[in-house]
Amino acid sequence: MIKDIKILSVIILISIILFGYTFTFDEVPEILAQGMQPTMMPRLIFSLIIFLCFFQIYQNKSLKSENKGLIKSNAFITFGYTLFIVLIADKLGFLISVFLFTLITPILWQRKDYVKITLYSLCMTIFVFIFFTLVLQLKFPQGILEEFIIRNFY
Amino acid sequence: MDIFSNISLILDTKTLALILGSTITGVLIGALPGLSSGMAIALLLPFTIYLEPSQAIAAMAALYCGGTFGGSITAILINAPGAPPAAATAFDGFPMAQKGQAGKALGMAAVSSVVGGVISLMVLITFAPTLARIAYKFGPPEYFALAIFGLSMLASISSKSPVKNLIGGLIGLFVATIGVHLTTGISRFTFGVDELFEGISFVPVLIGLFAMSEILVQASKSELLLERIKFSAIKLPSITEFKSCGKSILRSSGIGTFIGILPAEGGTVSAMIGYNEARRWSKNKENFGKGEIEGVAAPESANNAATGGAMIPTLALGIPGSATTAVILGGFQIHGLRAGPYLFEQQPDLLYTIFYGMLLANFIFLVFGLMGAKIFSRISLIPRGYLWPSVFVFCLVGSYGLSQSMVDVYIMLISGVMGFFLRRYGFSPAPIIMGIVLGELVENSLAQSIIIFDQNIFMFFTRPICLLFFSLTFLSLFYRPIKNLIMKGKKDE
Amino acid sequence: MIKKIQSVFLCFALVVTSIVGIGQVATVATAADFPSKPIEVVTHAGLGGGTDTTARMLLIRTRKNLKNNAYITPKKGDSGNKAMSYVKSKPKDGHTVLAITPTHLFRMARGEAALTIDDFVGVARTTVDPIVIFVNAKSPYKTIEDLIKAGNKKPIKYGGTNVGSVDHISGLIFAREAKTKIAFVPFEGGGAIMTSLVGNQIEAAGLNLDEGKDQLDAGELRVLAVMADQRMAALPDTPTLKEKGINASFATVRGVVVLKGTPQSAIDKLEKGFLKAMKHPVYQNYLQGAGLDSSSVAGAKAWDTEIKSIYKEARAALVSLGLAK
Repeated sequence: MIKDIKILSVIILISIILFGYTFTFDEVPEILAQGMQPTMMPRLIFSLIIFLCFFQIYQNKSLKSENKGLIKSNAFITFGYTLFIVLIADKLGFLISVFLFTLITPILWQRKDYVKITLYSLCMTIFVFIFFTLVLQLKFPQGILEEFIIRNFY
Repeated sequence: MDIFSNISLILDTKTLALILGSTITGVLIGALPGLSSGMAIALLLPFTIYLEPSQAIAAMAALYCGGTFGGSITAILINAPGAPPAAATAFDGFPMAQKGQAGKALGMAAVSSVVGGVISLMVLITFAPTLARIAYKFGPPEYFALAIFGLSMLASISSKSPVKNLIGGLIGLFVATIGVHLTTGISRFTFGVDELFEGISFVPVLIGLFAMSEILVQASKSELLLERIKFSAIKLPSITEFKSCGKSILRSSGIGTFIGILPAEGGTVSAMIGYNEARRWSKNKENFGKGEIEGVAAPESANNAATGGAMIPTLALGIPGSATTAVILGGFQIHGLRAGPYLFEQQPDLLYTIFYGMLLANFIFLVFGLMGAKIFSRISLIPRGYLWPSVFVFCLVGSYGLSQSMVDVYIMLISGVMGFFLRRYGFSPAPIIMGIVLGELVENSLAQSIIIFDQNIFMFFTRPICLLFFSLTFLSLFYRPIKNLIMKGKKDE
Repeated sequence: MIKKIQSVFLCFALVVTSIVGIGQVATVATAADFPSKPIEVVTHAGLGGGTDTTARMLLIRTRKNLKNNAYITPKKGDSGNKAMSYVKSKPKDGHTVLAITPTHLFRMARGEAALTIDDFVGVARTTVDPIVIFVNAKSPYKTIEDLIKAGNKKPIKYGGTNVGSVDHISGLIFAREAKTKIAFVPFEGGGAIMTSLVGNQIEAAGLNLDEGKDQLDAGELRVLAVMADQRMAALPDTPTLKEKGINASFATVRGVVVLKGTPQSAIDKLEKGFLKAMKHPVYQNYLQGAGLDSSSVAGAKAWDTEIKSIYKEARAALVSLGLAK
């Protein structure tokens, strides 16, 4: 395997797809057709990316890919869990998702002191609520708690 | 100098307390990823009507100063730049913290920030009306030339492979094309998502590329509860280390002040250019990106110098020099005041109050930063299992907070995954950030120039400032080959 | 240990259900006790912009007048369309108010927007800021006629904010009505337009008076005409385009609207609260700082008629320019 060939091919592939996508842009209304076209810059960028990627592959052709080691499954689990939290944040509300996240993630990261974790998680949730919602007046979607929070704290 | 004859303007308890409070608020808010000083000022704006106008404006200016510095704290400790201008600080600050030198990095950040801030304030109070006119000299063609100069640094901005840096820079440029095209109103790469029409917001991308990808990196580290005790983490930098960074700090302060004056650019670009120049002239070039203390000093002095720089056109012409100063101008309006030439002629007291407010803010965060460095640096000693989940909570809240949209949270997650894989394969985030920051400027200013020049692009070469930046670009790209040629010629003789 | 976690979860679930229960009981309220919960003002722009600041200044006194809290929700995206679709999803009880600008009206006029012009009613106008044609003071254009004449020889480089905005359309309509030509140069914001005009990069620009006021006073810019039906109080000697027989009146107006179908009693209460807030020195002082005066404020009836007429003109203009079907 040539060094970095995997990531470079992925970049080339994405660039080709996006290059093709520029052909689906809306047509420019006549009255605005002055100067640069909207497709010019993206096409230039993608052509350069593709060229540079091939150049890099050519440069690396004699280099063997070094063994990077597999990505630890914990990275995937953590990412999956963050994605899940973000997906439910909209429905259940930010506070609940912050609570769930800070409660479970330390356990995923092999911490075993459950009492501390629960305390930490509660403190984080309360801190986020007090600091962001009450002090900074930033309104987050609070899902099922929304009505309650709006009525009592806004 | 008669600058100091008016110092009594801020010497009452209420004003002093306000400035102290706003600076510290600024530092703390600036430190949280996603929350910026501009946002804090906008949120606090309505409450300032109960203050004297000069107190209110001085407090906002102090908050602005504190906020710019605050961004560096989280950039160093958890690789999550609290504000875009601190992105460049993370390049070397975070590796330093990882090596157990968090205190050194924080101390250096505080000191270089103050030097940058104070230099730019001195420039502000002495030359503002004259210097502000530079803003008028910069039209679209000049901004295009400046952006090209910025892009010429893409290949060299990190010690990773130049080709990979260029690819990263181009990816950044692509991200900047997302949204409605300025001159034709055509939407590009929005895939029907309304929130993308006005372009991808920079802050969530930044949080994703740095903090979110770092969380994934940390998650894949397998050592179970294997935290090295970092005895040296709370040590501050030594005098020799400050001295060795002196040149970089001064150079960056100049760069920051100048770029800050230009309304279309601000702290982020200054910090990047400051970082790149420090690297170019440094003896330890190879060390950059791996925890070089000069790599913290340079961007920090540049971005704080840019705050004073940005105040120059804001106060002297009423043109905001950055996003935050635009909000401060809103603060003038609320009090029925106007910034502009009139301020310097008819309201010198107000001007001096702002100046002293900012100056004092710089010294407050110096003390706060140096004393706090010992406390903050302990954050790097918090067990990973607690630290990084908390970082994610701030990523989540911070990326949502700015425009209160879930789309930004998804952008943060996607950038996080992208950043994770790109870093794994030896791409640095530096050129990507640079590409995003300059992308819009380069395309828009070119499109505007083409209309202004009646489609004749050779008109660029009739403009002195453009020529200056084009030659600087040429020099920075070909400085080494030319130098090598000359050296070779000398040897042959 | 696991049992402990379980019990924590259980407690949590109990608390959540009871809280939600309380919330639901409290929602049962009639239009008579409007407002029964905090008022949400939806904006389309980021924090610290003109729309945001105006809304915040408006709310300071409104809270007191309505004896009720109020907060701002920014919903950025697609020229106000995101804000409109968010408001559409809310109940028609007057607790959700949309801060509207020409951006929304032009977006609607382009078609396929979340709301149509008949889906909402005006409550109050907060600011009105006509577009003023500026040129560089050193330029040879002393009157609007000079500019029109010059444009006939070679298109005038005319600066404004982004394409499809009120700046852009007003420039195009001015050119059409005055039978001249412009080459529109779009910029990212008022500040950039003004600096480019002082720096002689462009020849003319449509700006709000406030954006060029300092440079006008400093003698670096000159005003040629106001795009309004009446002269501005701040510029008594500057003619309107209408006086010159050019039919192009455009302004950056801001105001608040609610969904159609909101009980009239709620609209009345809101209108009263807003109008009283805008009479207060806090708001008047702000208007003055922005270079405007108390004529900016108008009540529900006048504002509602105005929105409809702006929409009609915007629609006609966009269709005639080929920018909407």
